[in-house]
Amino acid sequence: MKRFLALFACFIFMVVPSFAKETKEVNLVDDIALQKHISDIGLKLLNANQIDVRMIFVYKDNESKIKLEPGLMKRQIFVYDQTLQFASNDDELAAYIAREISKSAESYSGGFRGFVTSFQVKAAPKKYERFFDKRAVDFMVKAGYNPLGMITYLNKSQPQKRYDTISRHNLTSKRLANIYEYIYIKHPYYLKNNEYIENEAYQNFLLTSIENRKKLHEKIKSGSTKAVKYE
Amino acid sequence: MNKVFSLLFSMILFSSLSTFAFERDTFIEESLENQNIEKPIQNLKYDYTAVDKIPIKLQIQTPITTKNDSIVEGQLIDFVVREDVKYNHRVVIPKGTKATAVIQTYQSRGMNGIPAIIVLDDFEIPNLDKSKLKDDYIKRGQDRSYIVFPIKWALTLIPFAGYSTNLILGGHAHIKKKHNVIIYYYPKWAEN
Repeated sequence: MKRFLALFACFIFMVVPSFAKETKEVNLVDDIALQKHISDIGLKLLNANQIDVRMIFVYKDNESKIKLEPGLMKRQIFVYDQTLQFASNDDELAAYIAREISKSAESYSGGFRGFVTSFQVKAAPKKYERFFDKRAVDFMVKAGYNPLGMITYLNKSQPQKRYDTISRHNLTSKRLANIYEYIYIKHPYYLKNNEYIENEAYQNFLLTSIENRKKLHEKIKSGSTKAVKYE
Repeated sequence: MNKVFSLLFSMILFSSLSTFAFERDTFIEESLENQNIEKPIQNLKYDYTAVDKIPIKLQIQTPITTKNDSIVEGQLIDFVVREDVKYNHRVVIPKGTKATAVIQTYQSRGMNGIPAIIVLDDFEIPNLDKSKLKDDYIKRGQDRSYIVFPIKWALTLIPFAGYSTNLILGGHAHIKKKHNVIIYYYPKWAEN
């Protein structure tokens, strides 16, 4: 009996590592494919927009609890599992990456090799948020992605706070309305030939932005150039 | 036969109902209905092997500023080429040629000395292929955060005094006639 048990134990010890190895290999293959896809989208965005500063795109499974902004400090853009789970297509993944690129590219300008600007972005994220959103829309368009992917991605992934008066970030509804207005002004082609009209996330945006879209409608009707106060 | 008809009818009814279930963006349909809008230009046929690079110096015709929200995104800006642009001893763009650009976006100035920013892109110069231009131009206002942040940190020794520097705003961004707006022309870049 003892011999049998010892043999069984040996068998188990031999089998377990081989299973572990196989699982790891499968994950590694998936990770490599995912990393390649992320790098391809990131590099395409850089090349199409003639952004002549270096940055890299790294797939990482878990987001760190301490947010050190690697995009600003090391020009290293992390794409986490938490990010990927909201991106249903390349437009949406490109939206996230384009936004991080616009932030990271900003860290190259200004004094001390961009340190001061990076510090400003870190100190006043609310100020820069809309600026980065809009630049990201242009980056997406030039690289051949549909900018409406930015709306669907943000609508799915960003929560809605109660107030933003003393917050470090804008209300997501305001950001979405600003992006929508920007696409309407700069790239109306994508709204006229809307590929996202049957997308659930886009429909949800249309539903939740009726009041904001009315405000934009009035602005355009009146020919005003004043900034709309979205809610 | 009736069964076939009823099945066909119900199929058509359900498919049409699912189509109408989606909210239509009527505002867009109304406002863009009669406009002929072309697909935006994409830059996907790039080849950055060549290194030849020629600066094009431009002068703005009507100065712009972020002051008083006097600019809007998408606004067309007129320029004039300041000097002859030469390549291989040949004038490619003569002095005085008119050019245009578009205000891509801008950011107003912020607290703690953060400067305003104007971003121009989509430069167009007659007889010059757009895909051979590296054409984004960024103008920033005066960055006062170099002074503000050290003062802020020094004042943190006194409780709440550091917040007083929030009231110092950064500089407005201006593009005036005296400014040299420089974009770059890469004659050997691939055409789109």
